[in-house]
Amino acid sequence: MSEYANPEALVSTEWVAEHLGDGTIKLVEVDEDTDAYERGHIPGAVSLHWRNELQDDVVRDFVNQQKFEKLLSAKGIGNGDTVVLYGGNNNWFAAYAYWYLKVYGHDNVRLMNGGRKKWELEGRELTSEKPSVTPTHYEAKAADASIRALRDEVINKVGKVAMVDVRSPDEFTGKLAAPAHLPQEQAQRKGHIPGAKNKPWSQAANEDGTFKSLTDLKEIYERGLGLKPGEEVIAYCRIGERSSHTWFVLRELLGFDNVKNYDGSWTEYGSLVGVPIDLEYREEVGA
Amino acid sequence: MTFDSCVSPDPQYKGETAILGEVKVAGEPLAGAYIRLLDGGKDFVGEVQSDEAGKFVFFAGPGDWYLVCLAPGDRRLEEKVALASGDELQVSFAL
Repeated sequence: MSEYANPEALVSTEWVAEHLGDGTIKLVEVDEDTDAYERGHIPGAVSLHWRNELQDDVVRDFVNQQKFEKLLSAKGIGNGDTVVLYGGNNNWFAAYAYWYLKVYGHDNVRLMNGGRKKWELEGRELTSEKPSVTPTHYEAKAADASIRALRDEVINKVGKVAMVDVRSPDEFTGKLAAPAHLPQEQAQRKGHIPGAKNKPWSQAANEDGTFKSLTDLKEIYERGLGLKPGEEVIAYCRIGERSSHTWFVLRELLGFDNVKNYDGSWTEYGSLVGVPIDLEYREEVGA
Repeated sequence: MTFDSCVSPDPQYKGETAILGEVKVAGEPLAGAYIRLLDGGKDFVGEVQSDEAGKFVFFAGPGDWYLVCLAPGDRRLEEKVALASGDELQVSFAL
């Protein structure tokens, strides 16, 4: 992992196993399947619920700075702690939490390469026992707007900056809006932001959930997609989690210094009135 | 069985065209194996884990698919399947 632009952004499963019980390292599991933690987790890990804890319960947005401070304090995370995130689904939601912690200025945060899948495939210990937590007085910084793209910025930059749509090709072309079991998160229109390039997040991951090598990632994003490390890039997906995975790849592994995650993503953009949309797949009229 | 929210195969086939599978080790069901569904070009589509009975299901559309089964102990099996509309294809991985 030393080959990457920011090698400290990743730790291996071996590293985590060797540091179990180290009080300054706070393991945090973040899953899409929010029952996964209850069934078993890495000893000492606390959980963050991506919806109930990381989203405001009224406004569609992050929790504010004050609520974030309260949340991390309750989880026993101090400002000086090293936070190591991991989760299921090839670390999607862990990558989302990584980006989220960076937005609020927690610099000492890492992802466990391969996430929960690699840990399980290596036959490592899982427990259902919850760790005892000593609350802290966490102080967050003001949200860092330089790594988060919001609606108006995205609209103003259509066709002007590189945009990477990391959803599946069927979602990109407009054949699918979203999987059936999450209808509440569908946008009003199918398709993609004009000029966006499609590069599914999964192409950055190996079979075991680890990230591909620097050489492979350069091939995919720089030579294949034509992105340049110094240019401005906005990544998006459907609700901002898959694009966090790609944001992590571009920013931490490839060293792009001006990459933003658009967490409003397609569920927001595809519901806006009057914005330009492209799509390649059109249903037959009357079908 | 829950699907990855953003990578599920086409939901229009839910309930009609499906790959139904099971994972066993020495004849016993294996829970928690990872099964990856790849399209005919071997691009990733979705991933699920086998349940307590070692079972898994993908609602996929007609066509060629690859299934990759991963389990602890560096065990890996891959199988290509061809799915026709309305099929409920049975796949068994014996690790």
